[in-house]
Amino acid sequence: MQELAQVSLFSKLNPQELQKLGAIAKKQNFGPGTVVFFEGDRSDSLYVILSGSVKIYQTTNDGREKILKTMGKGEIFGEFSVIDGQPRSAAVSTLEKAELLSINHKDFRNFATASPDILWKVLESLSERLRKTTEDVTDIAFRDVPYRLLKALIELAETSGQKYKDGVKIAAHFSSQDLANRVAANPQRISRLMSRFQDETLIQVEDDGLVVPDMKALKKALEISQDWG
Amino acid sequence: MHCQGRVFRWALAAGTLASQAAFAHERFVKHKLKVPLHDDFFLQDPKWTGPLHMQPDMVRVGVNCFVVLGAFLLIWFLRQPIEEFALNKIFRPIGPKAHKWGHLIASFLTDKPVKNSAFYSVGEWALLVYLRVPGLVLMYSATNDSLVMPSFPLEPQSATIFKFAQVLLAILILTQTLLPLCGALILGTYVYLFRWGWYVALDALPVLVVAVAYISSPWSSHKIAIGEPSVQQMRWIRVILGFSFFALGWVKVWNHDLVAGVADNYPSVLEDPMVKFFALGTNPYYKRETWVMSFALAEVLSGFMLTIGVFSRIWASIMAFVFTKLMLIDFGWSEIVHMYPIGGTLSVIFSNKLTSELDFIEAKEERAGREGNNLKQFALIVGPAIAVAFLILFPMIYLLTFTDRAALRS
Repeated sequence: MQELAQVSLFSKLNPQELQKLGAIAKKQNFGPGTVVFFEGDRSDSLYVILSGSVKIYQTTNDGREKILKTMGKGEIFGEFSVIDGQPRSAAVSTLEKAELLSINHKDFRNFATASPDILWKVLESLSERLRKTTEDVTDIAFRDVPYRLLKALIELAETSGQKYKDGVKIAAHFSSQDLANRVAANPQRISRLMSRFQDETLIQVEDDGLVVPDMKALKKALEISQDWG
Repeated sequence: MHCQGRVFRWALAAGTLASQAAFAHERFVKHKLKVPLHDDFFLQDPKWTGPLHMQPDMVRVGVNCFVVLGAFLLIWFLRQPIEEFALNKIFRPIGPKAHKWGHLIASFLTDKPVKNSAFYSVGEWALLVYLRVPGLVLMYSATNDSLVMPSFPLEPQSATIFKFAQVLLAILILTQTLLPLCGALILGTYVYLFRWGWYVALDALPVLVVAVAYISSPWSSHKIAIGEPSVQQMRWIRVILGFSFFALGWVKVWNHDLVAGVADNYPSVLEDPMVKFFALGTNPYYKRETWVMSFALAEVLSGFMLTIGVFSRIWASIMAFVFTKLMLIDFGWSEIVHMYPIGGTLSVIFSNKLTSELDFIEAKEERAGREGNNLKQFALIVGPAIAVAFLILFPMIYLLTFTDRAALRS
């Protein structure tokens, strides 16, 4: 119950509600790189990330992955299918060892009927997702690749980064292909840009992940990135 | 690829032209009966102890087929929970790679998109085969003095012009030029086959499977790379292919001498596990009759499944295997016309745009599940499965027992 209270989605619930929620929620552990659900699945559970991080992605017919978003502790996913009952619009896979809480559609519906405040939280999450999609579309249409890559690195650091010395470490390993898929660019271009960012000391590539030594510098680079195009 | 309005006029013109000169004979595949069948097996007779005066072994084959069809429909409606169980309880614990491969296999088996680069590449190749193979069949026919299907020989006085016409059509197809005209000519030739009666036309129905794609292509087809067929095109390909074999299955019961005759001349066609399964529990005295019935109903079942889009990839794969075997092992190149359905089945197997005619029932069933109405959900799964399996088989089996054999032979 203590764990549930720390999740922002459930922060406004009273102890009785948290207890009810504890009874219907199922805790699941996933190893790194494990698929939680696939695109097109009909499963309709809502997931809350208790620890670790996940990537939300779509796959093209020829097998190429496009990462839509990465998520970290306290965030929720799978809410689309809970609400409209349609097949999953994207797949979700863990980036590292993760602990997730799942609540199935029927139980969530009953719980939300008794505690409608939780629906506002879900709506907030949906709005945020919609806003992010709009931003991504705008970025792909009007921004150059360096801007999109810097933005993706900042998002990764903020959602799945951990404090490391004076900076932030993104522990999960991202290949050039992963980053390229995420920002809709080709992997060669991403490799070249990553080398440049290393030269600029914006990032450090280590064996077990990526380190951002100075988040402020990375954000500053994002501001001026249009000039780099 | 979009539909063209003038196609029907082309078809009529082609049909009129063709009817002036071409001529079809009996098939190259030998089908003369070596030993007569027991005709009464297939007919109404008060002596039979089966329901409605039907031969009990005939009914038994029908019941076996009903069980298989019902089971497949039930599994189709329950495929989602079965898939979830297999993926989450069996494949996921093995490891992430096994889990992803399990998902790809499950997607293939349940007609969902298979998002894999190798599958996509083979799919592109399959589409080329589907669009081009009629060219090979036409070339073969032209060099064997026959019309489109090598089993319809040309009359000597008009053979030359038709040979050139077929080669020209083959070149147009192989170079992807004027595809709507190619489709219209194939359709026209098909219409012309009615000259020898509906049975001949029905036998050639799978030829139309490629005409759909040609007719719905743009006139500038030579300038474009045709990618994947659209959802609607895929649906037409599946329905035409499936219905062809569904109808041909029933025709085999109706004109059983022809089927038994083929088996008499080519005993290798008797070795089919599904056909043997359908004949389980029948009287060995009527071995050949139950084989005909089982063979026919196996075709009805697979054709019906494809028509309604239930496990389309599995049935299309079985069909592709059977047709390839018929062409390469059992009958030889005289049956090269099977390349049409082989191309069609390949396009179905590798398509990521498959739909099912039962989707609307599933939507209602899922809705009932989400609303917590478990009884309604159960009824929407079991009811249609049993009702469809029963209605597709038994009324037609019963009706065919009234066939006038004397009229058929005259």
